[in-house]
Amino acid sequence: MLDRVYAFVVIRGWKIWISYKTQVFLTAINWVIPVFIYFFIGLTLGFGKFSLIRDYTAFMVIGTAFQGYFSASVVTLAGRIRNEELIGTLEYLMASPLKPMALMMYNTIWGLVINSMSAIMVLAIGAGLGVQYHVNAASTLLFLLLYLLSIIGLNLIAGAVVLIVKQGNPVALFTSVASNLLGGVVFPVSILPTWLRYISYSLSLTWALSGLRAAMLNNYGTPQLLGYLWPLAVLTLAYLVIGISSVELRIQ
Amino acid sequence: MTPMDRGVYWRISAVDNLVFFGALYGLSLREARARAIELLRDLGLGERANDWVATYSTGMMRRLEIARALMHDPDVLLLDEPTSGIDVDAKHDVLNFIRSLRGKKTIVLASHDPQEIELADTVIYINKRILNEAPALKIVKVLIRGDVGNLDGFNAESIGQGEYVVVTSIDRFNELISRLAMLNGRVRVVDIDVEVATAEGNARRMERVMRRREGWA
Repeated sequence: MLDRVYAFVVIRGWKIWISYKTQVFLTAINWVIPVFIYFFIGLTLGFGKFSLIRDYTAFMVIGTAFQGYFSASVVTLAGRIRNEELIGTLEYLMASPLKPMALMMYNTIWGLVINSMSAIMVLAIGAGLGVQYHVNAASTLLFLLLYLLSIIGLNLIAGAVVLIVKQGNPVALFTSVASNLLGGVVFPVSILPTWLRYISYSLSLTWALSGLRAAMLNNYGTPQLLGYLWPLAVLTLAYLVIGISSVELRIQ
Repeated sequence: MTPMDRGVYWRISAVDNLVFFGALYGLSLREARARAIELLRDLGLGERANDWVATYSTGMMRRLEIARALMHDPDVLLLDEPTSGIDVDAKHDVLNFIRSLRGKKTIVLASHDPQEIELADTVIYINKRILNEAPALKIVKVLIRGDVGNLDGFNAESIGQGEYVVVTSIDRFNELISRLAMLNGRVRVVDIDVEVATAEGNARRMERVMRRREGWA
């Protein structure tokens, strides 16, 4: 299994990605630019002094760092499948003894890896901008684990949609827009109109970010974060069940 | 399986491609790398094994696809026009490699190229349905024009107007062409026809009968 992970992540993921040097450069810039945009907006508008959020930079950095998983991971898997279709390797992958579900999972891992690189870079920039991290490792890891599992579920849903519609990626588009607007990435969901807030609560991102902020900035332990933990766990389970069912349905 | 014009990853090396596909089939990285290097060497790609596939010619790509199909050492190999669109030298290498698998693998090869068909022990001629199945019997008919002179070992049969037909088995084809080349332009090769005599000849006759019977388009 580790050999396959290496094959998918290092050979087909990393080596191909790094071969497009301009793309690597531009992608890295795309990771960091939003941080600075929101940072300067925060400075300009005086967030932290007059708003509900005491440290807007820290709020925004955690949001931006982990939002990428939600939107880009979905794009990564869906784009990967589409790309395999175009270059003609999808049939060969599907003809291999690897089960389609396992194939999707291995593909997803690369998406998680590349978004982890993005998250680490954003968190490091945050430190440079003065964010003080007080990390509770256990609760951070727990929230991260559940969040990533929910992303795998979303990936499977996106993969099944791409296999069905062949073109475009409606799920990726939705998650990208939804996560920015509704996930509490750069502003708290409490300021949204009530009806939009309910949609926001159906996203694992919303609960994951709340939990991660508390765990990474305020050193909150799991017992203090149960209010965020159980909705995240339920949503993760739901995403996974829907994702696995969609893929199996598609394969059948 | 080597589907015609199927993809490999262009921006990684041939070895990396093969290791990746080997891992899909459950080979360990160490096994996959060793097998990849061995196959690439056997297929004449050893010196370019670590180059990006994007720098490969079509012929090299075909050989890489065959190597990929052999990574997990399958008993049966399905080849779809494995020498399609490649130059003569590359074609020669690929055909020789496929020939070297004789007795080791069962190969099912779809083709309308006589040189590929020549590799077969059994030829199945298909046009909408199986029309004929028979042991392959390969004959080359070379139509030449000019002063044939002495074609030692070959029988040139005159068909009038300075034209001759030389019929030989396909394994002596290269020898015949070399002999003709030595005539320094005194003859011109007008046409070359390779027949898998038993299968295709019978099949064509059968097809004509069927067309009349069933009103095929």
